[in-house]
Amino acid sequence: MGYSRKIGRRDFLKLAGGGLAGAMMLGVAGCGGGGGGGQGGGESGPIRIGALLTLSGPYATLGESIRNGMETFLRLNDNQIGGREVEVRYEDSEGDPQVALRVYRQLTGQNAVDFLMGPVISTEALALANRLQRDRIILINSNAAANDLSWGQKSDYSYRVSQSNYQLGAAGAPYIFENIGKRAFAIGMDYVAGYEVIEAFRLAYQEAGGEVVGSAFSAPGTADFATYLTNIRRAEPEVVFSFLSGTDAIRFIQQYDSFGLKGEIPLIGHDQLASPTVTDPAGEAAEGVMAVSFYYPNLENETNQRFVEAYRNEYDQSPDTIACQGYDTGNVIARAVEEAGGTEPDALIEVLRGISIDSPRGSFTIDPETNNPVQNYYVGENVREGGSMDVRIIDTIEDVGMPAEPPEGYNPTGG
Amino acid sequence: MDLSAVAVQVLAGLTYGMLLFMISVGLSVIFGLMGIVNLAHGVFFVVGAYVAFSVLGAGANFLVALVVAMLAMAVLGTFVERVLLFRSYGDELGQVLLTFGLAFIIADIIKMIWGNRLQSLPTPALVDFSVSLGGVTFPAYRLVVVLVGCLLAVLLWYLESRTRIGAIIRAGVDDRQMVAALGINVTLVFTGVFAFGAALAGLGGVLGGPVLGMYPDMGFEILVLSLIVVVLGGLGTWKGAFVGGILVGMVEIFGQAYFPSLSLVIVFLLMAGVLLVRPAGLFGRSPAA
Repeated sequence: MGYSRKIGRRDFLKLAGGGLAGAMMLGVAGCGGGGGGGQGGGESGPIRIGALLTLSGPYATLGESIRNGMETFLRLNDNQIGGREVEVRYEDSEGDPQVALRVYRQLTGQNAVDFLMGPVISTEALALANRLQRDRIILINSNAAANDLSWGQKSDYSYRVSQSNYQLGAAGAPYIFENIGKRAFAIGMDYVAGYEVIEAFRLAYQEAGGEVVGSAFSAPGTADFATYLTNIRRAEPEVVFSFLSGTDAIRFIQQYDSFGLKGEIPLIGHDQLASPTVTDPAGEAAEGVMAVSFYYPNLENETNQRFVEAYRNEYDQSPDTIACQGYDTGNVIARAVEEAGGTEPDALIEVLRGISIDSPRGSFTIDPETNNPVQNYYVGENVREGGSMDVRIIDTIEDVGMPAEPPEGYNPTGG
Repeated sequence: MDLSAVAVQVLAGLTYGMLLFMISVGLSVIFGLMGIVNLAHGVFFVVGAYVAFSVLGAGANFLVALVVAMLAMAVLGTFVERVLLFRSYGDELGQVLLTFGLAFIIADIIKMIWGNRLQSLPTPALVDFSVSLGGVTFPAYRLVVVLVGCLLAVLLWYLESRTRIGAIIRAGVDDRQMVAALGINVTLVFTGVFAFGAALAGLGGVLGGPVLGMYPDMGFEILVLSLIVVVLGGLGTWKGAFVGGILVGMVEIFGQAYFPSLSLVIVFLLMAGVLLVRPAGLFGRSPAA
């Protein structure tokens, strides 16, 4: 997905829609006014949840997966939380912080929701961060992974059910050092998350005793990885760690194979490298590629079996990590409302700190130091079973959290 | 600089350049001949790849899928030219809006039929191995793409300079009315060229499938690059598309390697530089004085 060079529909629409959006914003500011309280719902009547998700553009599939996961949770719970009906209002934030702010005003002003869920994109989450406190709105962060949301921008009103970029990079590093190789090459996408993930990997891998012998950052939408693959070969690593998603992951996996690296140097990355959205189109080239993820659809626990079955029945495909995050967004809201006995923000904050959740991923706990989950990660390998690609879970890395502040030497600039 | 790395980059740049050539040549010749900026051309590339994807899924081999996809694109091209574009000849803004709108519609139809997920074509088994030569490892399939691009260039050279149809097209680029006055059915020639250009976009899509993959909105991305190729090389000539494609391909790959965050800027800088020296592009003729 070429964010950097998409001079197509999005820009065109932006031009066309710019004037219109401006006009609408004035209108919303006019009637929304001061905002103020988020407790419009009171303690009876339906629980109202405002979902701020990317439902169009290159990140639309992520927003849809979160929505599908959330809907699955509600279907399995008769659309009720703490004995009350649930109303979810889904709004498209388009991956744009400005739009996210407009949607936020709409959801908290006119619609007076009890909870916010989303967003998908970290810049949207950062744009919302200080408003939550002011308006006393609790956000269950369903995806945005920027580390700073748990560090400098941490808020009592925001709790993450996904993972941070720090965890994405660091979770598998000690395992990789001990079991796969002592010299690693790291490749990530050339944007903020890429730098945060690769930097976390570098620190954790060095801590474990390994050496990162080279790193690269490819522009999102890179068609040809020939140069990177040549550089990888020249650096002679024992393992390659990747943080690439979507088409980039598919192309990388395929070219890793066609340039002859697959048999020689093991390739491991985050959950995308074992997600059917990547491994199906990548075909045979994905066989043997490994991933570190907090969720796979074939995890064996009761909650997951129920989740996967309900999800497959409705959407005709297996849930991925993103869908699991959507499910757990509902899950966390339900547990918090039940334990707090209502939707009063202060009571909710008390129970959300340190809450433990029985999730399809196994159980996880929200660490009150970071408002970020402490969870198990699983090492998986793509294996071919009866013609289709499946993930075999090789190992479990237990209770992975993140530090409460940036560790010494943390410098995610790629330099 | 390591020689083997440079060799791989040259080959990768050539592969990419040949794919750009296959897409741009149709765009360029159609523009030169008929004065039509077909902004749906990039989408033709993607549809070609998806058609091949379905044909392969039905169990056919790669060559069959390639031929079917090219034929399908020729049919689609004929339809677009005869039924839709025909009405807008002489109305440039109308053509731009029509073809751009068409691109959106086709992209949405792709989403309806094949879904929004990223797909990719498998590398044909026959050439699914890599070649090692003097410390350089390179996938054989990409060499095939380069070879096909060169063969296409030879074919176009032959068609242009040695055949009657080539002479008609050359004449048509210069003076449409004169050719018509000679009793040649220009309408038919136009339709034929349009269909041929669409089929070549399909060829690029299918050959690019195993390397680049495909997704519904990819056509817009490809369109920008092929417009650059056309402007760089000069309108209306296959030579321009050939040299422009290779140049842009090389600049993309080398830019990625040495100035990763500037790679697209460098392509535009190259274009600006060429236009300063040769305002009509490398092989384009200067605008009539």
